[in-house]
Amino acid sequence: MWLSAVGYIGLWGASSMEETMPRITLSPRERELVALLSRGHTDQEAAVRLGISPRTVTALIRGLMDRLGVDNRFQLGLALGVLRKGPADDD
Amino acid sequence: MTIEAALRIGTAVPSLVRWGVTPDADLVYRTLVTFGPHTRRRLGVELSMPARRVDAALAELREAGSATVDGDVWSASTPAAAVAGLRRRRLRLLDPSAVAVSHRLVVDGLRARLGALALPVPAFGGQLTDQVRYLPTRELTRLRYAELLRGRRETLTINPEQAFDAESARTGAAFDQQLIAQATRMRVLGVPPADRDAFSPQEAHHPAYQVRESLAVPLKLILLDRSVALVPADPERIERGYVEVSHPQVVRALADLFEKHWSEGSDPNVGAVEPIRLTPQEQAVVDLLALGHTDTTTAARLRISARSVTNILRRLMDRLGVENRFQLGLALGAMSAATPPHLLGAASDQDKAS
Repeated sequence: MWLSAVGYIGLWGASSMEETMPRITLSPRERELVALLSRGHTDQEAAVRLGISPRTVTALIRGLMDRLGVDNRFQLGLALGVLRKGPADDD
Repeated sequence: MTIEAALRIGTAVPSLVRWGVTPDADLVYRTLVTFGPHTRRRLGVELSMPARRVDAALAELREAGSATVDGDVWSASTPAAAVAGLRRRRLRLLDPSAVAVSHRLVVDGLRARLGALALPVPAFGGQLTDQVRYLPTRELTRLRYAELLRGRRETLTINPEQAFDAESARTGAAFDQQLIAQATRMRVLGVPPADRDAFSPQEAHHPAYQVRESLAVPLKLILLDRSVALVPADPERIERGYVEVSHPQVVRALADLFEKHWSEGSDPNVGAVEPIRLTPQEQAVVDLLALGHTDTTTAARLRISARSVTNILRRLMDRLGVENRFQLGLALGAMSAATPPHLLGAASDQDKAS
């Protein structure tokens, strides 16, 4: 139960950062969009996949950036990453 | 056919190794996905893999639901289906009774093999024979373990648990730090976490550990210098403490068992995302971008060219296996490598729009 294992379940490298971060809830559509972008899809491709216009994609991202108070894609990724709002690694 | 279509537009095949599949099986799976159905013979020829290994790989894939056989022709399930199947298979491990059953098999097997020697069923605490001691509570086990680990050079541990409770983690951490301080080599064979996060910083572990993962660990086991073994008295009730065994034959058999499972385990750092450390320059660039700087203003601050900024990020993105800035942010954020500072403490505007 407790021996020689905690090192790898997270005593090293873990941080309490996520505890101090704001929490946001993504709508199902936002979650799908984030999942597609995080797999490397472009806005265009994501729009096609979701059956929405590229403009709507831009608006969704703008909305997320506003809620998180960030100005660019890198910061948006960073914020979502810290908040663990990225998708599971395989779906 | 959907697989071929998917391949044509370049969908990546995820590594099954990360889901507890052996590298052989992963290779066979990739071959089947990429080049279509094969017979086992053709697989062996094309991969220059001995028939025995091909068979083992195919059996493993079939058991995991990643491949099917029709006559003597094997085909792969879609990557999505394969991963879903592997994930389900892993979740089965959450059932602790499977480990309990296997624990009893191991102990009974030892009793049978080593017939004459007493491996008593513990009923009360204390020294049962000169080579077997029963530690009837967690507290006594802890105290005894603190004594036992002093001056040890090697520990071999098998952990069937997917997670540890807070108290266990705290005590374990203290012991582990002591072991690290006295330069004990530690090998830990564990179960992969149920929900591995591709970029989780929790997967980075201290270099004093060597870690492997297996989906089928036989029992909870701690071996110290291959001279003392600790196993739970009752695999289903940890509060009943541990049995300490120093009988050489038993300990040797358990060490062999460890080595067998270790050799079949997979290294979580192979096929998974490698632990990554940012260089000071990368860190500086990332920190400025996190503050909202553009490439140009970042370059100005660091007195380098904008092209250097692009190159630094390009290299970092290659190392992380991502293609765009959004993914880079996501990865670094999940690794807690950088935080947009104004987000810290901004807890007041949470859930505004949801």
